[in-house]
Amino acid sequence: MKPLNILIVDDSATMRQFVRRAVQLSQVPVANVLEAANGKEALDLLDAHQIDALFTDINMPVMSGRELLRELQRQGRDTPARIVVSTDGTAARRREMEGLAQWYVNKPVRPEVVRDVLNELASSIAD
Amino acid sequence: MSSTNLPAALPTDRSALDRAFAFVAEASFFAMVEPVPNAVPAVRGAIVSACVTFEGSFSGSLTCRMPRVLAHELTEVFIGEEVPADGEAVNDLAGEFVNMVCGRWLADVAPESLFQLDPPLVSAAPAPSRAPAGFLNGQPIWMELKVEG
Repeated sequence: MKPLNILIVDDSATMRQFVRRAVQLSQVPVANVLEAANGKEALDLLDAHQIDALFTDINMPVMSGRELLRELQRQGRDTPARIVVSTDGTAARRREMEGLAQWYVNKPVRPEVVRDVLNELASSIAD
Repeated sequence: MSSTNLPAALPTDRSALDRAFAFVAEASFFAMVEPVPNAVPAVRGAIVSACVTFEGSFSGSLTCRMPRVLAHELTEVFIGEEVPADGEAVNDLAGEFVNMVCGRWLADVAPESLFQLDPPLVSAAPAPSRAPAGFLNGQPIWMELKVEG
């Protein structure tokens, strides 16, 4: 299985650290984990690195996760795989994100959910 | 929850915030919300206040206050490593805590509405004089919910 390059986008450093730890606990092979505090920083990193999986919050200053995902859609990028990690668990928000992200994970995030998402992603890349 | 202030016309109930609080405590911090004892012990040290405002089909704010020593304990549980008691991670955690409770509550009471949550504002604050919403790790947490139509 090819080790994954992962980008975590959240304005909360504590939440980025939590997701990073959940990624490490998943035991899915990981090459690099990069971090960004908003969508703009994420776009810069996506231009400079080959990223397989993007975990992004929605509500962030400077550039939100919604704007980031729409920009990736506008650019027609197939990668990275997109996982929204949000406090907003409303059905309306989930529907809004359909088509912009493959997975939608609610905060508080259970580490086993991150593990399951990464396993599914790693399997899809291997297939 | 004794400190909620919901207009009667809103499609919600006061127990929803209790459920959201208990869910976040259990899912992220492996902690059970304990009932408020008859005699509330004095708070040790500083209090940290975190407030998140939301806007959508109705708007308002949720403010959570807790002893900073509790926020520090929760931070270390959350990220699985030691952090300085006076560090920024503790403030960050307090903000994420109220953010998660608010998001969970909104999903419960208004699942078909879209809300915009602003980044939490975190500051030092005095201990409220009213009763806490519950106890975590033997320490009080106060929740104040304000909702406008």
